[in-house]
Amino acid sequence: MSLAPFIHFIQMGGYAAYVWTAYGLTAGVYLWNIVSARQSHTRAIKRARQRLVASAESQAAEQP
Amino acid sequence: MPLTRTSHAVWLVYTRELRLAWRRWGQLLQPVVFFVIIGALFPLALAPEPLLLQTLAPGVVWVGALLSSLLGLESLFKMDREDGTLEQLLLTGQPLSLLLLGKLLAHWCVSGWPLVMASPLVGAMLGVPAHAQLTSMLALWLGTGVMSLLGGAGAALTLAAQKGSVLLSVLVLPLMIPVIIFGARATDLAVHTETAANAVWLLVSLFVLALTLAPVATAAAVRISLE
Amino acid sequence: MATWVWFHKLASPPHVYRIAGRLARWFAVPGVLILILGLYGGLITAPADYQQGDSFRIIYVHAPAAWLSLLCYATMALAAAVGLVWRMKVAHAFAAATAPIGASFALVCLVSGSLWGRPMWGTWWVWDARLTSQLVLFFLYLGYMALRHSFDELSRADRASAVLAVIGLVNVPIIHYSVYWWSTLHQGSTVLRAGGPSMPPSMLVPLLLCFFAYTCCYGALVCVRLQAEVLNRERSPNWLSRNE
Repeated sequence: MSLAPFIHFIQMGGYAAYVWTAYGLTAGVYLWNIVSARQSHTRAIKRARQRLVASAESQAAEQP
Repeated sequence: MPLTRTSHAVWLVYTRELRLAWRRWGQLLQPVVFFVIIGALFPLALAPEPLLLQTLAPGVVWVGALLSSLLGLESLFKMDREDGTLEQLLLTGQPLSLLLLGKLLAHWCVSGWPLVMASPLVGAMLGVPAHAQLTSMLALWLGTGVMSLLGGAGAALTLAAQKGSVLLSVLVLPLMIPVIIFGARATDLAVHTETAANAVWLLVSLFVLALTLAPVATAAAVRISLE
Repeated sequence: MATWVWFHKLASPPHVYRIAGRLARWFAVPGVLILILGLYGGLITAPADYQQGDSFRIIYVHAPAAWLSLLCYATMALAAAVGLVWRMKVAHAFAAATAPIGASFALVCLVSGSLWGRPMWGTWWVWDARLTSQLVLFFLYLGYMALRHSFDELSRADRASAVLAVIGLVNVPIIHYSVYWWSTLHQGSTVLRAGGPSMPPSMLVPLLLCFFAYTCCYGALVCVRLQAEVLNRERSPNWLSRNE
């Protein structure tokens, strides 16, 4: 099987640098969005649990 | 015709601002001097070529006016918040948006009108012909009004913000783009002895829009910052 | 009225949290699949443009990014307005969740547009009407996020940035109109357009697929962020299940 059509695809008619940079950037931004969203969710859960623990402790301390 | 309580209150706020500004008239001159210096710097930075300067003149005049009016925006609410006047305005029971409209209009008179008066000088330094000055001044008069109104809303928003005056510029500048585009276009048309009526009417509509919306937004922002 | 029940339920953070968790998956799977399909069509099936060659293929990541940046701003401002008027924390949470997504795609639009324009016009930046108004939109996003971060207290940050978002929403049509007006004065029609006046279906269909896919992916992303933002605004979320 010849590699010619594949190489032609990669070269994008001479515009390879522009096209693949644009697609690469888009992929990067998608990845960042996914990672950042999940990170913020995990952090929010962690902080929420800490607040729950803290409020439970303060409630327990208030009761004699 | 007796003034209603509300319009009397607005008038009081307006005149108070003017009186306070008059006492610090040195500070008032700062934006004007800044504006004139910008006008002088551009020929120095480029070339004293009349045709080049005339092409650039509308842009330089309008961007210069915008940056100069930004100078006075930050302190618009700061002193009043510090000495408690802002809270008093909130407590008067009069519509806060109208009271703040008085404040914003006073700011326009105090910072915008001097810029308009200085614009023939800046224009002349950049080769704006005499016949274009009047139209340019009219456009700038409207434009600085929009700048004061929208800029005041921005200043109220950053009032409660703990950090940054750079923030105010970042907030306000994108909103000023239509003013710059239409205003510079008006000056440009006037310079080329064409009728600037369309551009000026667009500025009028921007001014009316700002007049109706900015006080409401400013009042909301002040309320948020005062809690 | 029973029809308003669904709306009032949306004010309940645990309810929204659960729904967002489920919806995220429902959006993500079709989003990714249709994106692959659309990009395959755009990169491989669609023929090269007669004028721009293969560089027009950037449109398949550029135009949907522009659409997404506008969609995000509109939903952000609407959610902010709902939050201001009805004092719903969930609405403010949605606005906070949407903003970074919209801003990142506005950046994609700007850079990809710049990369598209470079081979065509020889410069890295073109004051094209669309790119310029996209730049302004990006600044609006930056201002919104900067204002948010300048407050220590979350509820104040929510309300102040909501006022800014509404001001921005009113201004966006005006800004877009003024930028288009300005560009018609000074340039011809240097519009980044591929396929001539109308696109053949082989080019258009993948583009529409990409629009749809980007929107689905946005739905998934905003659901995940929304869960985080809703949690941040709850003082003691007892309803948080153990297995999160």
